[in-house]
Amino acid sequence: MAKTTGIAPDLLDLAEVDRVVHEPARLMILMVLYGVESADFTFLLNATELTWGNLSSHVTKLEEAEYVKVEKGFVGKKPRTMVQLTDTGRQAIDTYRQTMQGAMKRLG
Amino acid sequence: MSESINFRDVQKRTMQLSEFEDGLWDLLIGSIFMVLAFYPVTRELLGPTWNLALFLFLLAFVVVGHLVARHFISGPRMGYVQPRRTPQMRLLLVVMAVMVLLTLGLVLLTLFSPGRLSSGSEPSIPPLVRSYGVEWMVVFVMGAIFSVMGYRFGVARLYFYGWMLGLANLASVYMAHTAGWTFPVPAAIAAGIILVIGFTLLLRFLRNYPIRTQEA
Repeated sequence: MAKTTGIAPDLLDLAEVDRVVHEPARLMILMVLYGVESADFTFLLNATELTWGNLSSHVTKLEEAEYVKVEKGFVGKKPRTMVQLTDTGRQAIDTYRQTMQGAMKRLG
Repeated sequence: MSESINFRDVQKRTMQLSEFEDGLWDLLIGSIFMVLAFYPVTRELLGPTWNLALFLFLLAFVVVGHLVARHFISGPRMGYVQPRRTPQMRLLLVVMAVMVLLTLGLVLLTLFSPGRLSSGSEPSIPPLVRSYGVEWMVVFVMGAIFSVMGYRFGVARLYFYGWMLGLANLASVYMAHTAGWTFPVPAAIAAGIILVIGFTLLLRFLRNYPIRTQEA
């Protein structure tokens, strides 16, 4: 980090925080997926308590950022959408976690 | 923010939601131990061979019933989760499977040993002198297994189940030696308590998690 004379130079790395991950609803989705191999939409709805539309839009954003992989399939005649965290997504969470932990430590 | 978000807690909560919210594991554990509790009674009626066949059939029945209930009751309501298979998780599962089999073996040894079943005859060692070493081992092994599972999955009631089942087994053997009980009442009561908890959790689950019809 470049030397700076701003008010809080130690917290400047917060400005570089990944905003795709930082949004609370998306962070919740990523954290749920972090501990499992994959989960379907119904489970994510129950775990995050988001509405269907909200969850769908956030998952789409995460998919665009290549943080999650979405696979649509059928079990019998019923559709099932499975969501899986990608390696990029896992790395993004780890980086986000380190950044936030460092910033919080410096805040005291 | 870092104070309020704990990754390990989120993972435990995910495990609780996907595995233990519906009470089906409680019903499976309770059913298995209830079948074990009735083993000596049906053995006197059916004889050892047919009783073993009945025991294995009932065991298979409750396990299949558990899987079917998870698929048709829990799955559509809670959703489906594929657990992450890390090497540590695989090792933990293998260790737990071995310990569960060891415990079941010990329980079978203590509950269904020939000396214990001959209720009319005097035990060779006086009951108060007998040390109940194997039964105490079952208490600690069961307590340890269920405690590890309770800690790993963040499910506090599993601690209670382990120690209760272990102590109930000890009490059953003690009562068999002192009072000549052929039916292990304490073990049946312990299994009954777990079944009641399981049914309560299942009812709460059915009320709280209706089937979702919309899919993305």
